[in-house]
Amino acid sequence: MKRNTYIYQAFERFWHWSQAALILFLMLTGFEMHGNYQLLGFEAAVLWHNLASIALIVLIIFAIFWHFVTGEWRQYIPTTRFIKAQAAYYLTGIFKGAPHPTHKTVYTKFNPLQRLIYLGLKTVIFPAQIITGLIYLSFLYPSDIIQVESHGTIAIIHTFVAFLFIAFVIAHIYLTTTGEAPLTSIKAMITGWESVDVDPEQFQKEHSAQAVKDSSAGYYRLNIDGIIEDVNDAWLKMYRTDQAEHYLGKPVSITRCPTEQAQLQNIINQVFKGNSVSGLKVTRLCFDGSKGEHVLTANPIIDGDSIVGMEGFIIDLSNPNQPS
Amino acid sequence: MNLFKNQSTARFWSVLGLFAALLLPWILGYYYIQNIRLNNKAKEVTLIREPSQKKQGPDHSQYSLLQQEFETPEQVTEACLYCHNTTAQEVMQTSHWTWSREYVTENGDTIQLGKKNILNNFCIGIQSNEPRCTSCHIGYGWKDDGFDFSEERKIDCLVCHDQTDTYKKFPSGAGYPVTEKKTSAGEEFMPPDYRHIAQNIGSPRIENCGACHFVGGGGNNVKHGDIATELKEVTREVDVHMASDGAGMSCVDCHRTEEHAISGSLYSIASQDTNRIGCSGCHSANPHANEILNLHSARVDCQTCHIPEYAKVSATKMSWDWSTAGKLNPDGSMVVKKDSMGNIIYHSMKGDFTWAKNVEPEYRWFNGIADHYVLGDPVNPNETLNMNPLQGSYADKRSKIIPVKVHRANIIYDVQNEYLINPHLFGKDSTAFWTHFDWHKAAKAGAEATGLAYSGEYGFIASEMTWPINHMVAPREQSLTCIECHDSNGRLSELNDFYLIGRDRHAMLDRIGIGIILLSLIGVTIHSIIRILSKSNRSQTK
Repeated sequence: MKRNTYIYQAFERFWHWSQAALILFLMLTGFEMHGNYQLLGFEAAVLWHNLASIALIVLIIFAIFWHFVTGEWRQYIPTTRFIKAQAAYYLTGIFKGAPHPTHKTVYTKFNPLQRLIYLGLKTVIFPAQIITGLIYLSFLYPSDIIQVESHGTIAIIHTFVAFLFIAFVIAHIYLTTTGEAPLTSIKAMITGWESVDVDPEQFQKEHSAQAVKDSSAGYYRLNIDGIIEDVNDAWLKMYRTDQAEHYLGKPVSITRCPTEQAQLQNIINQVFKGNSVSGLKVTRLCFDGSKGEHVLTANPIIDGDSIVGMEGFIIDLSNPNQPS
Repeated sequence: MNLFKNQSTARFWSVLGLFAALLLPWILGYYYIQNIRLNNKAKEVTLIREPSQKKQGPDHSQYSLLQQEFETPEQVTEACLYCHNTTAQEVMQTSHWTWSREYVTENGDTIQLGKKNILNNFCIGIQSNEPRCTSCHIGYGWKDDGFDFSEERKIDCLVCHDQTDTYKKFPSGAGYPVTEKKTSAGEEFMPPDYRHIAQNIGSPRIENCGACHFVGGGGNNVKHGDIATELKEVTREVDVHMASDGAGMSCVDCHRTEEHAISGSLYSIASQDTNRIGCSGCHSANPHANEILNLHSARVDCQTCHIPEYAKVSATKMSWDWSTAGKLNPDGSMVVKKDSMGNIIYHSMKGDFTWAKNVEPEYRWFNGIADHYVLGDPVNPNETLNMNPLQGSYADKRSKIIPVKVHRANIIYDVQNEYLINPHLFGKDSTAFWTHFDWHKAAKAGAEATGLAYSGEYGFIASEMTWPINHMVAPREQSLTCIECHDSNGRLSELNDFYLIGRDRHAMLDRIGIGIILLSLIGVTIHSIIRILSKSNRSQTK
């Protein structure tokens, strides 16, 4: 079951696109410095390259922090499960219109091949490039701590890894087209939303809970002692307050005028005997002392073989402020 | 519907926010770089030392001692020394007088070496040719090896202190001016009016220094390439320091002088790293807005980037082939050929020359110490002889890259003894080459004058001499840009004992890298073609 899901967080997208722009720019300026073409001019290329490299290092420090704080680093733990299937998919299955062998979820964003490649990128390629780059900079800006005698080897490694980066970018961009539709993956990385697999049961639960929370019918729950345990926003609105504390933990009797108490007690008695009530029109006492009318439903909450409380919905009949 | 609209608006704003967040650092970076790239923008040059203010000296025309009619230049010197009675001692310490300095040879001996006895690859050496060469000595009468360097009255005060531009030493007069009207190479020489000159003396001007230093090697700009007569009157395009529309400086503004010892000895002659002057005498150590340029100064001298070319007005001599000298016209007169610019390209007395204008310097590592060919040193006729190898390399941390003029010449050597000969060129005697065009006689006489034996067999050996370029500093906007060195065909393409980004690469790894990129491109292309084809196949079969 697929559902449109918010899969890439704001920071993640910012990090991805910043890093993409920085790497492309570092390639552009770097290969100009390497003498492959003239574009910005050598001096500007050097200044921009050094600036962009510092920006990239800062960004990566933030990204590392983010990965550990959010636990997203677990996404990169390599796995051998389905790795053959994934490779086989790219080599043959994709041409036959076969389904993806692995499913993208919020918890497993990457397929086994992606995990391996990204992990290699993060633990080998990036560090190699950053370290050689920093050594190169310390050659330019000598200090007492690091003194580099000669930078030939460093420069050669730095250049070679840059070639690997280009190869990665080519493959990476191409593989974005292997999603649902050619642009699906790129769109997801821009907006954060993608249609991914979800667990139907889990989805149902979360969705119902959300439905009650967002409903414009008021929801309430009492315990067996007639104490209010939960209400939703719509309920509070009908009672003319936005502070749940005014009601939570209080006896339900405070929601009625003295003249209505008998009716309320009658409903509670009915429900605690195991009956349900619905469509009953009642008059409530709002928080500010005014009165309003609504219809209510009430049904017992059963835990095992005993009744532990009562819950239901109320639909407003008199709120003059409606519809908003 | 309302809800959907809100959601898509929110998503729009979030994507816009993402876009803005991505863009912001680049805008900041753009302003940072724009503000750092001040190269071509006018900005004050920061000096750590200002040019000195000229002091008005006493009025020498008031001194009764200088009212006399002087018969000889020595009498003028005596008059000078009457008041400046310790000055002779100062002057006699200087290399302007001694033409000699201490030099440590390869085997560690300290010898006296200087213009007096060193060889160059222009007119070779002064021994036995003194009267011609010593017209640029600050003395009178150094006509042979018998000159007395302790005789104070032989000091020529006027050549440096004349302010009237009427005092001239005769080119072959052993340092003396003429006593009657004479002509040399089309130029007229008049006996000086010593009284007038003595009454108007002053601090040396460009004209005084230039009288010798601009014409070294026998003509304007022949030797150095970066100092020439035109520096008396140039625009800042030629020399920002000396130009009248530039800093308007004269030689002694940089070559500051104490007790007649003039600072700034040239590397081509002076072998020890002492008494040098450089840009940092006046300019701060970090003059650039771009810090990376400042860092270059650890290994690159200012001159390297700021003197993109030399000999900007008159040509300088680049090569000299002595082996062709001595050809005469059938009537026995001398052959003289000139190029379209009027530069002599062949002369019977000297051989073939080449000249060049607006010359790109060559570049060398230099740590301040120059070696020299010393008379009697062995030569290898199969190799080009370097007359003054500049010490230095990338590995030597004290070395910096400097611009140089390299003068290449074929010069005479003793084939059997395998050493250079200092030929006897000038003179009216029976052996001088410029009179009789006989290399054997000239070699024998010259060798004897230097205490060496001549085997009787001479030949010509290729040699080069290195002249560091320090003058004709260009305006800021003409200084070298990065790419002129950081390029495989750049100016430093010969100086390859180190990795230079933009110039150097590991050819094999570069090829492998490009191979990997090509492979991934090919792979991606093939993969996508199969995908497209198989997809259309599938939709057809459906």
